[in-house]
Amino acid sequence: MSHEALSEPSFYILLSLSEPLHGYGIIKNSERLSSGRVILGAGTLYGALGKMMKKKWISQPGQGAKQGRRKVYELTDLGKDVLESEVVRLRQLVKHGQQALAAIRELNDDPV
Amino acid sequence: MTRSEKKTTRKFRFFAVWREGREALWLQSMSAKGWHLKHVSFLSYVFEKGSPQDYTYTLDFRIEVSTDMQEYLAMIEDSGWQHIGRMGGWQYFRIATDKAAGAEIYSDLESLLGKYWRVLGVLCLSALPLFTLLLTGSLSRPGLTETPIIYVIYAVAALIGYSIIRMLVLILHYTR
Repeated sequence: MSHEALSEPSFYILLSLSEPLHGYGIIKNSERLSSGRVILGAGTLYGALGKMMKKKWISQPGQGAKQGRRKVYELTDLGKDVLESEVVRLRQLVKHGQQALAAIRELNDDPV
Repeated sequence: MTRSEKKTTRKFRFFAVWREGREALWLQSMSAKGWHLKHVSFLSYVFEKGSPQDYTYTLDFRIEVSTDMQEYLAMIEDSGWQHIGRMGGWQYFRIATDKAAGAEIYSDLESLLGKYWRVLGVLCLSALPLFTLLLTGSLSRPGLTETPIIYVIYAVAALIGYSIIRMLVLILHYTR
């Protein structure tokens, strides 16, 4: 399936949910997975989770059951597909980037 | 007042929606003097006396059903902010200034703009009935035009109208 490119925060939110987590757990996990580069604002995360719930990329496994203030989220099958195709897209980006850079280097090495 | 009760003071201030930054700075300056925000309601702020602290305040705008609101507040509080109160959809938070770096509630422009769009949406919703009344001429009945209340209605309509323009300008400024 194809979809729009994921924003970096969205990408790391989905990556973080390789295990069920609540909001702050996602913030910490994104920070860890990105080596400290992606620090999600709590308000940003809250909005993003709402959108992803609507798109059914994530779900709340405990929905209906009595939960505390902190709800736990997990990836749906659709969410896994989205993540999968995003990684395919990113890999293509890297490949194209490397090819173009190699061509540029070749030109520079032996000028015609 | 018993001895154990802390000293409080109430101040009345009006901050227009596009001046939330100023409002936050005013609250910070109050905390620097030892007056910490305890409760906020329409036009009125209650402060509690304590030792002077360097607190950073921030205002978010969110209207949610209560269970979602609980989850939202838990998320913001987990990232270090203390929720002090709310006025309408405005949520008041503070954090020690030395912990504020990297704790911003919005970490990207898109979600920050989402906040401004929510404010704009509520402004437009509140303008709708008022402007309908004004434009359909329902308020120009003889009995009403002679009372001062009509001027209050005009003033509120003008303020809401101007607020809508200011929010649009703010959004355009960031979208450019």
